[in-house]
Amino acid sequence: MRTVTEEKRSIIGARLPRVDSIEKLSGSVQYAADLKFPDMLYAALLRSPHPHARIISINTRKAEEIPGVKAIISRDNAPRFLFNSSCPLLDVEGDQVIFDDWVRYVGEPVAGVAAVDIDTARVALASIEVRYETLPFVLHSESAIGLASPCVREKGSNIAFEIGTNQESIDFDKAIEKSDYVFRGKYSTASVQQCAMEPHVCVSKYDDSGRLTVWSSTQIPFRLRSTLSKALGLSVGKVRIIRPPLGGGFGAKEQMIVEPYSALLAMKTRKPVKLEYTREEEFTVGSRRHACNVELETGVSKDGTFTARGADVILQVGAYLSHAPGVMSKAFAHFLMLYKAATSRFDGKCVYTNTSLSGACRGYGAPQIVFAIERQVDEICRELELDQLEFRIRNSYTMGDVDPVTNFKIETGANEASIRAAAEKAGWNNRFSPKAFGELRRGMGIARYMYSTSAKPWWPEASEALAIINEDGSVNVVTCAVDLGTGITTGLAQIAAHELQVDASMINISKESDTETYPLDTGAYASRTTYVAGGAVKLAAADARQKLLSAASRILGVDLDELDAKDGKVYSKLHHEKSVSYGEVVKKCRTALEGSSTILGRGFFEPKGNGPTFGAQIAEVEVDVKTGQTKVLRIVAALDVGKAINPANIEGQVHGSIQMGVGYALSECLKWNEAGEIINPSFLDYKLIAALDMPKIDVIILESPDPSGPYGAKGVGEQPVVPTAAAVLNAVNDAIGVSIRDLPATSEKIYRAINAQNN
Amino acid sequence: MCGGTDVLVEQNPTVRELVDLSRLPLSYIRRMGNGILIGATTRISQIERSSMLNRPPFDIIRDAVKDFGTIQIRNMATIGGNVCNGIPSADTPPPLIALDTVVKVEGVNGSRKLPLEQMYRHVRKLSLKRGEILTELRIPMSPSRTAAAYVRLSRSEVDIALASAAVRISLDRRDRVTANRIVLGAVAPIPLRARKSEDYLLGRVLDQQTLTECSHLASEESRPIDDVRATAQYRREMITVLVERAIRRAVSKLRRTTR
Amino acid sequence: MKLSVTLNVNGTNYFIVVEPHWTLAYVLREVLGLTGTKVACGTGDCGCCTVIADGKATLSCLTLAASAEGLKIETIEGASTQFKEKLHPIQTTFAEIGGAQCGFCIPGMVMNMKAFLEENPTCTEADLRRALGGNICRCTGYAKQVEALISARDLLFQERRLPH
Repeated sequence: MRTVTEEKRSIIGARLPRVDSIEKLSGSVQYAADLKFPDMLYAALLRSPHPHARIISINTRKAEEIPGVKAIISRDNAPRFLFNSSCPLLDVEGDQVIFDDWVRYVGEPVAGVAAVDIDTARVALASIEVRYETLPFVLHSESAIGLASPCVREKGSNIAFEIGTNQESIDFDKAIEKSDYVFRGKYSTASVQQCAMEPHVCVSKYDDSGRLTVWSSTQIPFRLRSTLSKALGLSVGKVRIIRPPLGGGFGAKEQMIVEPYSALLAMKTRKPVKLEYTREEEFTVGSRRHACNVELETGVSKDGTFTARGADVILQVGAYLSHAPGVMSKAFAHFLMLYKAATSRFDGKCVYTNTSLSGACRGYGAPQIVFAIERQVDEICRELELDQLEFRIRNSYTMGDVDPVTNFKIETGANEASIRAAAEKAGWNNRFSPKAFGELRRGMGIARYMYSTSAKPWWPEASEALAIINEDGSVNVVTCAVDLGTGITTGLAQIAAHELQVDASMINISKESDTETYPLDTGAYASRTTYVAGGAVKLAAADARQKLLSAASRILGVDLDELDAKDGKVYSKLHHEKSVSYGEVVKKCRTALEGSSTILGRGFFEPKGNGPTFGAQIAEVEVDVKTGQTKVLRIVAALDVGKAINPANIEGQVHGSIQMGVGYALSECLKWNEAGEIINPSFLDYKLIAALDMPKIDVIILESPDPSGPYGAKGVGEQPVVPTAAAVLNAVNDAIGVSIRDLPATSEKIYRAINAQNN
Repeated sequence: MCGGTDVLVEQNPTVRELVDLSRLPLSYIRRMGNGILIGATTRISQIERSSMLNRPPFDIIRDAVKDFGTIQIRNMATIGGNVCNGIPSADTPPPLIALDTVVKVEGVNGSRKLPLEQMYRHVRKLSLKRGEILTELRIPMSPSRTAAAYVRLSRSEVDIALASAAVRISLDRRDRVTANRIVLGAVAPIPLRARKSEDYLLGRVLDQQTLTECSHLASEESRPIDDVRATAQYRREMITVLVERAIRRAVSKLRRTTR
Repeated sequence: MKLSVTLNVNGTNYFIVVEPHWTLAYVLREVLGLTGTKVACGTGDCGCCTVIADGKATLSCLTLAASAEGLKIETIEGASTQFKEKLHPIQTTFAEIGGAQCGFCIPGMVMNMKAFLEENPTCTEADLRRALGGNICRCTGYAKQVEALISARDLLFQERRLPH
């Protein structure tokens, strides 16, 4: 296991500048938001003002008569096929239709208009008359879970999904009783938003042969295609999803949101129809992270080991299931994975509420559960005067153990190394003395994670790629892997360049996805892309190389074993002058060389494991005790990535995650009023932290190769956001002796806590 | 409108016509005797850079605009717009009032002058009649041994103020307060003169006890509300901190310039 | 009632007819086809729509197209020198260091910082971070952008000092 340094490396491990930077920097890249077609119409959606109501009638007559309005859709003319908007890979019973007879959250679409320009579309919305019968509603999961609560979905339980360990908890209660110490606590996290800068947007076109094409800012082209076909009642083969470069996603675009409306309007008008969410729509109805309440009950022995770990978790779902089961399952898994214990208990309930959908958001359930657990570990260590590092190391799963979720042997893992590396870099053992500077107090806190790569074991994982050698030796790598800004395009190009032993400049990799012409990759989620798509690209390039060698063997009349391929040439290891360029091989193949007609490598990859990753973050904070304002001065982030394909890309993921994590800890929070409306739907009042707020960040990349990943690589996109909020709040606890258990820890909350402590 | 940074965000649907004032010759910062004249369409960024506002107590205006919005907003927004928009969190009115600024208002019926403080009636409600625009701000000279400071509290580094305090202090040779203004922002529908605290400070020496009492009085005078950004209670309590910090900052400026 | 206006964008005069309420951002993107400038909020909070007007970083989503007449407007499409032969140092340092991830905030950031570095050639890191307050980026945490901007600042400084 090595730490990455700046020594000279091969292309694997090189800080290759991104292959798609220049077009972004010059403004010439076309995102879905920039697409414009001749005769294109613009769509806008009419939304429910009520959190729960039955639609009595919809009258669109006045709106239809407005010049420039080309089509109007509503429950009166839309298909009613059920779907789940998370576009699940496996068959899941749907619980949504495009337009229903009820509205179940403020902002739920009730009708859609396509018009010649966006102003006309919006004016038309105002002329649509909808009559509602309002119904009782419930906004908070604690209320919704009660038996007397109104039904979010008119009838049935408000508990949408439940998962956990065996309900017989007698063993667990006994273990708690026998523990030397018992810790109980309630921890809660707010609903925050992904806030990708490019909103949800798509353009749909429907031709007279019945084929639908949708250009969408989506993370999941193939999954979207399946669910969209289902929702519209179209054959999958007639639906084509094209994904331009994305302006960010963070999970928000792992969902079908805008496409059904745009597609329906395109089907009705036979013209291209663009639907782009405004920022206000993004905040109110654009997907967000599940708010979560966690109750922990934890038994600890005198020697500092967990004897029993129990959690009751409630996720606030919104009105439709979407990603909730997946997020809860992941929270469950990561609860089990984070620490060992003789007995564990978990009960997770996903609760419907009359609020807009929550969906996938970086970390997918892990940030919520790890916040709770790592905050409690901090409290335990302080209470029992145990060393924060040793306690965590002692109780973690590590290489050689059996993963409690998958039952695979853990064959990788720099858990202890990441904790110690972070501690060393942060100066953990000599921290702050004195801590106080006038009205300011400083503190340091640590939090760790164990996080799996890809959606295994819940979903199958596979990816396919092609590597095509051209007649001049240049290479086209075709993959449906989605780069949402992570830099994966560059990383995959490096993998292909390495396998083919050519300069990276010779690799031309897909910058878009197209379900009609590209092989399958299910998209960007679960930090899977380097691990799975990387595996496929590696195999495809290796296959192409093998085919080059085979063909060259016949061209040169030399045994295959004698050949090697490097720097764009195939050559004999014994007689170097016997060589042929890749391009020449391709040309010869095209002119009827028996046995092959082209050099096209195929790679189909199914990883054998799910690449467990480990990491730790240490935060340094400074609190102004007079105002509660907290500045995060520094974060040291150590992460085990298996193999760093491109360290600059990894650093980029850490930096961005920390901006999200610190916001999650201190300022980001969607807020509702009692009428079910979000009251801070803008960047003015949904506070992201700015460049001046950002801490100094030290990134320590560790490599504990995972045999199941390409070159040992594992995932890295979500991991760094998982422990940040806990690390920051643990540091606050260190600074002022106040343990805050609910996010966000705003200045006001910290100020109140300081005052409460002083009194 | 001029900069558009409030009007075009608010998108008030009752507005039928917009008159763009940006081409009027009202963008200037000039000396008038020992005072300063600022034209209404002067951009915040010009104010940020103006060397005429270097010297205490005029530098309180530079304090105020240092954290004003973002660079682009400062390039576009005008002091007239910020003064006339009438929202409680505006950064320039408390410092301007602390400096006893007088405004010139012109309209179809001629021009008039009034103290800026008297312009504000309620949130977004000013004493401007139909057909009138603000054209100039006149900041009079201050007695010698005067300094002023503006301190604000916000949720992050780029944010509007949750609460703010603008303080102007004049001291005699024995360090007693001969004149002062304490103006609170974002804790009332209008910029608020904390008159009780001002009266309390007169004639006193600024020791800790005085500062504590003064800032508590100011806090009691504030009338904040709960909103999406903070609770009224927090804002009220923060005024105590901000007034004390503003007075300290003003005094340290005074010490630096009158050695 | 529509207005005829002449807009000077990247050195070219465009004679167009606009609705009074159309913003400069809308006209650039929808009428002139210059989609490099992005709209991500429409309320002046994020900076993605930043262009340079008479040398000053300006939010095109809060500028009425009609008010932009007479201003010298520069967009991301004009940030590189003519025919894109030479990229601006901000563009080259961002490309090298990794300042662009998804890229959506980048045009607005390049324009904001281009204007800023022109006026503040000896700025500090803190000054740069403060200036970046005018651009929201959700991908990068600003870390590599600040690193690149420091590099760009130094390159520009060198450029100015060298004899032509």
